[in-house]
Amino acid sequence: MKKNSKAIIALCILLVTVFVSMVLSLNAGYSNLPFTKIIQSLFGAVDQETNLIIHKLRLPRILAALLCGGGLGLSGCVLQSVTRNPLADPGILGINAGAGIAVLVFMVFFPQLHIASKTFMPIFAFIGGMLVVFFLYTFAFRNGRLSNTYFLLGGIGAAAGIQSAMLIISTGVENSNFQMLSRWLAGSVWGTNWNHVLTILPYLLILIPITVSRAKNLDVLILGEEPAAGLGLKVEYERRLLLFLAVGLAAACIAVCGGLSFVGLVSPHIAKRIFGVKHRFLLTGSVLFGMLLCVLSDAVGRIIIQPLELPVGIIVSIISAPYFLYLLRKQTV
Amino acid sequence: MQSKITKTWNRKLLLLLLGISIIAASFLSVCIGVAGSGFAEVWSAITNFNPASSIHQVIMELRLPRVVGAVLVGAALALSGAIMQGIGSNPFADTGLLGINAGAGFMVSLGMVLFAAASFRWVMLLSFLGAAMGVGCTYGLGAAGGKNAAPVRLLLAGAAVSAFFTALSQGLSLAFGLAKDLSFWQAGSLNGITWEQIYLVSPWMLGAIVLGLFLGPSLSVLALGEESAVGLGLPIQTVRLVGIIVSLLLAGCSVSIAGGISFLGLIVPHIARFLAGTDYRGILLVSVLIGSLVMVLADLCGRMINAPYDTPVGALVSAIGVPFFLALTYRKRKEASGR
Repeated sequence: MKKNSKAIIALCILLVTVFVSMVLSLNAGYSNLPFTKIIQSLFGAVDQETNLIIHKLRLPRILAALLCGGGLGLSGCVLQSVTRNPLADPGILGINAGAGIAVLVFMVFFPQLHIASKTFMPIFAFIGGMLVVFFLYTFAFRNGRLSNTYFLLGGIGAAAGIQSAMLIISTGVENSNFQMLSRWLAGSVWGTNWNHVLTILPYLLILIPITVSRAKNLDVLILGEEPAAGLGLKVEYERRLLLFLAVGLAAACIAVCGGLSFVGLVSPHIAKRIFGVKHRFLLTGSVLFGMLLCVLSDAVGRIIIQPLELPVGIIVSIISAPYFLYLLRKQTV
Repeated sequence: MQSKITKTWNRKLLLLLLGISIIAASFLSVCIGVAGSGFAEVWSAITNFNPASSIHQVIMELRLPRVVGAVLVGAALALSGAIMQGIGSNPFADTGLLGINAGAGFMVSLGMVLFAAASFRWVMLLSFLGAAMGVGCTYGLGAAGGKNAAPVRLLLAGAAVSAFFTALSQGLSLAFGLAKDLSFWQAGSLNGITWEQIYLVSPWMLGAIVLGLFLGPSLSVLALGEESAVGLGLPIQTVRLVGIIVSLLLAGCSVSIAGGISFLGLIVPHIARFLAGTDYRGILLVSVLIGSLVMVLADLCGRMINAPYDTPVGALVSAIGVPFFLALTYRKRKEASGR
């Protein structure tokens, strides 16, 4: 009981931190605004210019970063538990790439559907991500059980192959589109507007609660196939459902912010340090840490080389890849 | 005895066949292009060059260096992959998978940013240093104390090291406005190779290729296993050191003119092993030839597929290489269970 209250306090602190980082991020950028003005603008009108910057430019992109970070963090946490591999991540497993190429195909080959891109982009992304997972599942199913190592290996291969396929497709695209595509592929929330936020919000609002409600089953699943089955869990069904949820989360995020790697890897690990391995708090913790990571990275990307800005995906990779290597060193594959 | 003679004959035939195919493919590649031109024009451009004719210019200044570059780069990458597979007994060794391309790419982008007017000589040096840095990081972090790092660990470490350096160079290129140049270059492309670059690179590359071929007998012994190799009096450390330096030299030079081309170094040695048996002398030589052939053909495809746009040859090679890589994991399991 005492542990629970500790975890709840930690969650609250984290929530406050996320909020503070959002406010800080609102102030990060080319035009500096005083804090009082930002707070005022959030709660009501100030002058035209401040409103434009806050409501039209910065707030949507910060919210997009927030939502994508949360979704990817949760997706990564589920993937790590389901595959029982602490190095799993939608980026490393090629799910991002699969979703990415589906979105690319949508952009290049289905111009007639672009009017309704809000509906179709996440659907395409989801189909792409699901195809990759389906492939990984069959690829890693060896000797009658799911091999975690091959799951990862297949993912690396799939990611590399799909990325090159994307390059082949995108060279045929004209130059201005190419610039946009390469930015999107690197993972960016630049130029997101309220439409984007509204695109992913319903998905996350549905998928996050469902996923968090499976926490107990995840606790059982990480014990391993046989013990979980012994405890009465329908392992295969549960695993597929959870993978489905994880892909759905990742796909919705990728449709908006492109290839954000490593968020899903790092956030669950940090969350694990604080909340332990029980999924009840771990899942929520992963969501919050994912949000924090993305919002801060986005802010850093905007500050670091003013007046230009770096895509959030690049900052996240630079921070997280060394962490992945550190984890790899500790782990015996 | 009889079979041995047929074997050497078979191998000579194989080498001859590969040599002829390379020449034929190169010739084809010089003949075909967006600007058009036929056999006769190519011949007259080579034998009787006329600087006033634009098609002669295209052939001599654009297509020919490109084909020569493809031959060199293909040979270098394939040999580098074969040597690394030999010295590390790691079937997945490849310049792309081990983070070499990404490291070299990062150093080159850094060079472009810091010394914008750097001559190609410096680019080459930086590329070599970057290659060494990339492979150093991958092995240093992936091996984690163990002497012989498990291939899967190295793959994972390589993926992360690549992601890291790629992100850094992407950041640099976006920050300093080199995006399109660099992204194309990072994907691996032979577009825009000049004679000057080839003159500068080729002595190093050819030297390293020859040196690499001399490693064949030692690698054959090493393939028997570390203990047996020590027992047979092979200086393992020296062989490994020379092998690494040679393969880094090859990889660095290739990256400096063609960018990051992955998976070529992975697939070609496996094909060579299939064709030439287990003797590394044969494997290395056949790898060099097949590497050149694949590269020339892939470059030709890259130019034709989406003409007049250029498709990065690295992407094409990866698209072929990935299924191959995945199939390899099946074969490895068979070997492991056989033991």
